[in-house]
Amino acid sequence: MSNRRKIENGALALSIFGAILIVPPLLNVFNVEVLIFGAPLIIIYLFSLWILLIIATFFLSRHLSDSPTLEQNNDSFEADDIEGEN
Amino acid sequence: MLSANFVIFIAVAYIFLLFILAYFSDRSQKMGKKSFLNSPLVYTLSISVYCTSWTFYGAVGSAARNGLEFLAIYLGPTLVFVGWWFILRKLVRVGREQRITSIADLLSSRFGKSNRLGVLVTLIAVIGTTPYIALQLKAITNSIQVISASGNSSAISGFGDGTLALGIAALMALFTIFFGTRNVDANEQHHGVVAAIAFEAIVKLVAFIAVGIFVVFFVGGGVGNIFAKANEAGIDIYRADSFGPRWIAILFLSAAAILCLPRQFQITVVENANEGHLRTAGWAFPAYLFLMSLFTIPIALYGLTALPEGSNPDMFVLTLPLAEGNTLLALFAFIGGFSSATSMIIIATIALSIMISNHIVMPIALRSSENLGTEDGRGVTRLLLTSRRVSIIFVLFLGFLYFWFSGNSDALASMGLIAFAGVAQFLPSMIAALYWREASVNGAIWATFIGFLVWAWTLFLPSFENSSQAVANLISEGPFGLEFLRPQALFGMSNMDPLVHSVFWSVLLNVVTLIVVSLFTKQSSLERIQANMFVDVFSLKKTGQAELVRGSATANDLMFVAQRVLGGKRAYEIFEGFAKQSGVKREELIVTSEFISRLEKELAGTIGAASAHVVLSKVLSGGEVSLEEVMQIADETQQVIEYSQRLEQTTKKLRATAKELKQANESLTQLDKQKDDFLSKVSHEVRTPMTSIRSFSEILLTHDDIGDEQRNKFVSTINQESKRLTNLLDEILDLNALEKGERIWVNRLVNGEEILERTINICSPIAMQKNVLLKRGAKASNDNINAEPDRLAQVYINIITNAIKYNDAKDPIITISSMSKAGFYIVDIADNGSGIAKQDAELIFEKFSRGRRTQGGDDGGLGLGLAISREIIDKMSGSLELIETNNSGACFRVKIPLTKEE
Repeated sequence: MSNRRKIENGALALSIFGAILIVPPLLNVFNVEVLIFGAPLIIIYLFSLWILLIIATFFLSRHLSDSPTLEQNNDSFEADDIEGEN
Repeated sequence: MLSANFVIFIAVAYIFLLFILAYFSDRSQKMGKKSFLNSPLVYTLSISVYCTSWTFYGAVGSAARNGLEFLAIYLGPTLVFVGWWFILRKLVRVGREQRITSIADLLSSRFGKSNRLGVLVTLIAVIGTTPYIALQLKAITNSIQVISASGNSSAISGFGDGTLALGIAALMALFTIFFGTRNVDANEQHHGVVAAIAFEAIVKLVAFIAVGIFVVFFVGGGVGNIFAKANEAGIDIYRADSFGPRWIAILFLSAAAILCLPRQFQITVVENANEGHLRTAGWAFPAYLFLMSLFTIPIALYGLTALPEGSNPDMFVLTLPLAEGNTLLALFAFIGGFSSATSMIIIATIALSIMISNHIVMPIALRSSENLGTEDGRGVTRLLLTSRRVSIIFVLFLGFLYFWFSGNSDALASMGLIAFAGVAQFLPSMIAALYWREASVNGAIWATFIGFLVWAWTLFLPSFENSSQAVANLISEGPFGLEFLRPQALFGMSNMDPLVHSVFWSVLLNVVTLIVVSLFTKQSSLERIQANMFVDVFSLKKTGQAELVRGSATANDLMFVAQRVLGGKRAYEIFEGFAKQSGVKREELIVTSEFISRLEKELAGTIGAASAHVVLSKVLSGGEVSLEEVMQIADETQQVIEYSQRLEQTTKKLRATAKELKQANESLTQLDKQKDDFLSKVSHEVRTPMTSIRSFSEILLTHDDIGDEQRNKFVSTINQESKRLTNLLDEILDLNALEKGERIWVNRLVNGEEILERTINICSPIAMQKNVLLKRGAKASNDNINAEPDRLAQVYINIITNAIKYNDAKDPIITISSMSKAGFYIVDIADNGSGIAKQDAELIFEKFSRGRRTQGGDDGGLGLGLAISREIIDKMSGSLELIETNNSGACFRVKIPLTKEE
């Protein structure tokens, strides 16, 4: 698997995990009456998760690129990643 | 306290500022300056048109009433932008390649340039957006009332609410007409407007954060303090009930809205100047939303505890600074709210006006006039601009009417989510447009229509419950007493949240219809072509095919049409550009299918795909070939190209196989040659002794007069040669057996040192005979190995005798040392002779090869010794090799793995 593919898959995984982490039942794990720095845990949880998603996207986006790499050309031709030339 | 007049003056001045900003941005863009206007930052900021006054004021209200629910409205879009690489990127790419002008155009273009679908989407968008615009107007009038503290909602220093809203709507219309329809752009981009929107994005963010910091750190005494006080006041700060189906429904709706809202589509896709900007927006837009919502909860909680009971939570952003006597901050907050309302109004109106003019006005105009306004060269352009201006006024007036009639009811408050649910009906078709090749136009039309009907019945209609008795009756009893059709309890699903209920039914029926109808209907050729263009947007290579369209319109006919729609200058540029590309003069331009499809795209960028298609069809239908056929040709070309690509791939595979076969053949040839070599060497080795045996025996046979002494000598020579022959054959058999693994081989636990000592003892007489000094070097500490002792001794003897035999030094010395290292028992046998040339290092282990230095002088060696030795050591899982040392001579190393003592 080429490096580019890995980053692409990482980006997909990030969106999926992000979606799973902000819906019940996982969300309800943090929905308890606990205060952290004076604020309810669930609020701290949601905002920290949010900022982590932003940071992760920031780093992933820098490596997601359109230009096909050399390894990628060796992939089977069913692969849907032969980019158009602009 | 501020006077209402002053506040209104500030608002008007703010709009005036926007005018100036937009004007100068437009001008700098026209002059072709590479300004910061084209930066990803401006793009990201303009996307924040998502945050309207509904979120600016309403988020705090929502947080006060429903706890964390407001966060879902920001988290949905966050997820979409985090995954920008997958949906947004494709959407933007398709939008650019196909010159998409609106979401209606996107769906219409993908589904065979269907105008019916375009009209349907446009109508839904207008119905969903108008109340939303009304909501903005209401937010503006409300905020002016609050900040000027008139208290009396019916009169603000002589203005009525309505007059005020009308005035603002008129100003907005003026701005939008001025900057949104200055010209019919080649790709519907409005740089001045985008610059103004980006500026407004900064204003609202800074205003909200300023209020947040003021509340939390200046009057609230820190976040912890605010939560503690709220808890004391009996407010449930945990809101354990926040996360249920409603939370998920809102996440889904907001994620859909960021893609499907006409204004978001306009900004994200149509106004996108560079696909790379998404890279920044992917994280920066979520960051914007993050900052925008950071202070919402503290403001809401502090407002609930500090302000008198019954205060409107929607206005906390204004009333909190006012209550603390900070009028300047309140005014700033007002401008923030005002800017979030105006930015939404501006973009939504532009998006709707493009949709109305391209999908409703243009098709009608095209149908009614046979010859595209021949009396005036700029007919279509003028028609477009006029229809857009009228549309803008129409949309804003509609919004105003909505506001006017529902002004004092609370029907508007919930309009935000209702609008989200309405445009979410575009989502299934939009996703199918990008990823599902089989989705057909009938599927999309019916799916959107049914989704829309269900939405209107279950969500939009019930929003009038409080203002209309008829609606209230309908909700409680169902139409004509049919209980199972009650809007908020379809088929008896009565215990659900109305929003969740509506989203569930509308989206479910929408998706099911899309799939079922698509599977049961056939796509036209145009649909199929467009489907491929959309779904394969990343993999399609641009066709360089120049197909001559037989008997169709001439370039002049097309030029005529292009001038009407695009204006003379732009049409001229396109034709000139294409002529240059195909290497002919503009006058000699030949109409190819490629050119027609390119021209159609250019036209689509101005009047939408469906209309462009109709226009060109009209021109081309005069000839023998219809546009459908042209597209057919293009499709066939596409198929041929795909086929040839596949062929190319197959050829590549065949080539690889051929290469492998060639390699196999080469190695077989090599083996064959080795076999021949071996045979010839063996024959040679056998022949020498045979010859001498034969000649001596012949002498003995023919000469009877040989003396006894002579005869004995001859016989012993024959005997010697026979021995040598036997040895040779033995060795060959031995080697052969070793290689084939025929001989039973038993390794057992032995002491390597013992065997080595024995070998040295055997060899020392030979060494003495040749005056060679056998020296014993270091000894191994551990020598437990698994080996065949006699065979191992054979290897040592072979190497040592070789060393004795070939040592050409003056004072020949052979050093034998052993050690145990890294799990191996190692024996080095080194001499001080002239060594073995590097190129021979591997060769000496080959059969019948002797070191070069011995060539010529035959000394009885057969050249099989080292080959056999290597074979033997292999059987003991060890290795035999020639290693490099600092000394001149050769050094052989025998390496055998140590066994663990049990």
